[in-house]
Amino acid sequence: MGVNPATDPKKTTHLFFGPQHPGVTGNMSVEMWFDGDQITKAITHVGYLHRGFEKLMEKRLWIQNFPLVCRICVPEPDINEECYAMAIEELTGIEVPERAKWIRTLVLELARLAVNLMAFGGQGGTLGLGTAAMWGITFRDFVLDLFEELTGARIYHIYIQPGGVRRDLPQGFGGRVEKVLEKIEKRLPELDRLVLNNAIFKLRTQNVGVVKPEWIEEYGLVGPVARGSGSVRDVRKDAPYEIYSKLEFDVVTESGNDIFARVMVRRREMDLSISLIRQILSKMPQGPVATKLPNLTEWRVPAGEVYSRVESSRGEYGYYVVSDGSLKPRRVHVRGPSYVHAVPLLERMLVGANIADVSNIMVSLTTCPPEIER
Amino acid sequence: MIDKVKNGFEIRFPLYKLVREQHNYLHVKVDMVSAMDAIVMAKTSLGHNVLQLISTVDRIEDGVFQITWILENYGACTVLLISADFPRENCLVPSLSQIWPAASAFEREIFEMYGISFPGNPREGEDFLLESWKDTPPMRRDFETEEYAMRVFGERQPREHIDPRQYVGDIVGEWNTPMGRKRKEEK
Repeated sequence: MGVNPATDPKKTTHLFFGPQHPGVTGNMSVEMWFDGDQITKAITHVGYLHRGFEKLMEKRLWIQNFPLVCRICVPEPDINEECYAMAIEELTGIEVPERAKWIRTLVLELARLAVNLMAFGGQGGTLGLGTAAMWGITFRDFVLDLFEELTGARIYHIYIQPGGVRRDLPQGFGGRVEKVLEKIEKRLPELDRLVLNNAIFKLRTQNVGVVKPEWIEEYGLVGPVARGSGSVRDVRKDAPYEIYSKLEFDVVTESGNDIFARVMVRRREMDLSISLIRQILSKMPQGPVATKLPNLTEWRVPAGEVYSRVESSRGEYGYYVVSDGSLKPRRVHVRGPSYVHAVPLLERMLVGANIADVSNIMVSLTTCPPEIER
Repeated sequence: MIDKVKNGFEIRFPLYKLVREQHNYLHVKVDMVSAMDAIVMAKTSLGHNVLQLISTVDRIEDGVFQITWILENYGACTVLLISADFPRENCLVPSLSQIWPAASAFEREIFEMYGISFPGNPREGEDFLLESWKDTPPMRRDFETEEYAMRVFGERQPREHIDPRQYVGDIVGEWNTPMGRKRKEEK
């Protein structure tokens, strides 16, 4: 510290980190200036993944956008389908059958479990615990097997649609979900020993990458990043959608403010998801799973504006959708949590950090660049 | 809580327009002169002190950009949308980056995508998603995607079509494919 890169360029090291680097989360990069091994300034660069989804959506029929929106987030596509469908349902007044709401919640929780498994293992991976990363990916694959059976696809499910879901659960699906949950639960204590009880992991994550509680409202932080700093904000609890109001759960929160606290939130979120999935499977009612939609090629959504939001594994996820009463959306604006986590927050957090902690800090924010670029 | 917010707008901005109201959700529209006052009031007096998003809708038929600020109250779990129309030509919107650091990124993106300037944003003009973009801002309704692609990248050559049956037949011989053997037997 103390060296200003603008006035003392010879005393600083200038480094471009990413976009092609195993320590970077997705396709983004960080430009950094160092004094010794301490960062004095950081700028986030995005744009490597910009595919113009929001522009494309204005040129397509309402229903044609479902294969697009899921591609905004690879690890957790269902939140995009859910948000977009919720916005259309709000504008059109389409009712979702009760069973479809339960199935949607099941899908969202399975996706959350899959992401948290990968993120938890991935955090170990950044510190050299390759086994943890591989285990995380492996267990996620068991969940993807379930998605493949349910939706026909492992990654982009395109399963949630306005007025319900595309098809009912296959025969015996609940039993197979339970088997996967048991398999994951059996291995989680081992994963805990490998990651959370590891002395090096603790040294590298405790009191590192601190998110001050006052930053939560200043930057609009959400999800595990905010809950790791004492926030109790969770859209599932605060503004319940689908059937979350019928499920019993407490918001997971930690007060460490550091990377370890965020990892703990994700670890406890896995337990929470498993509990919620079991509650859903035990209480799910019978009935239809979709409302009949009008002719989709001539479907005009009534004019209006709405902001729909759900809780993703990274925090509050919102869609601002505007209709002018035509066959296509007038505007669809996606607000992913990575927007503030990866740009203003990361730029601030990195100042004063050590070069060896950069990837550790980035992964702890679980930033997803496609959410920023849409 | 939403009633309190609504009352605040009724007293301070009697000409405001109610767009949508729900249990924990309020969307209001004010004139462009009152927009900043409304946002400051929402932050300081009405508890909506978290900026979630700044969004733009290009209403080209009315000659305006509709800017929407989405604010949240984390304590009361409510969301407040404040919209205002700004003239489309040489559009200038006051920056909020001095109030919320996160606003800077949203404003930089809007500057790139719509060409709307936010005086007061210290990082305006810094590349965000697009690198060295010189054309019409791409999210404007009058930006023609297809015309741009044709002008910049030219017409794409049609793909070469290969008939799989002929392709396999060329390699292994016309009658060695399963279909070929079947046809041979039929002959």
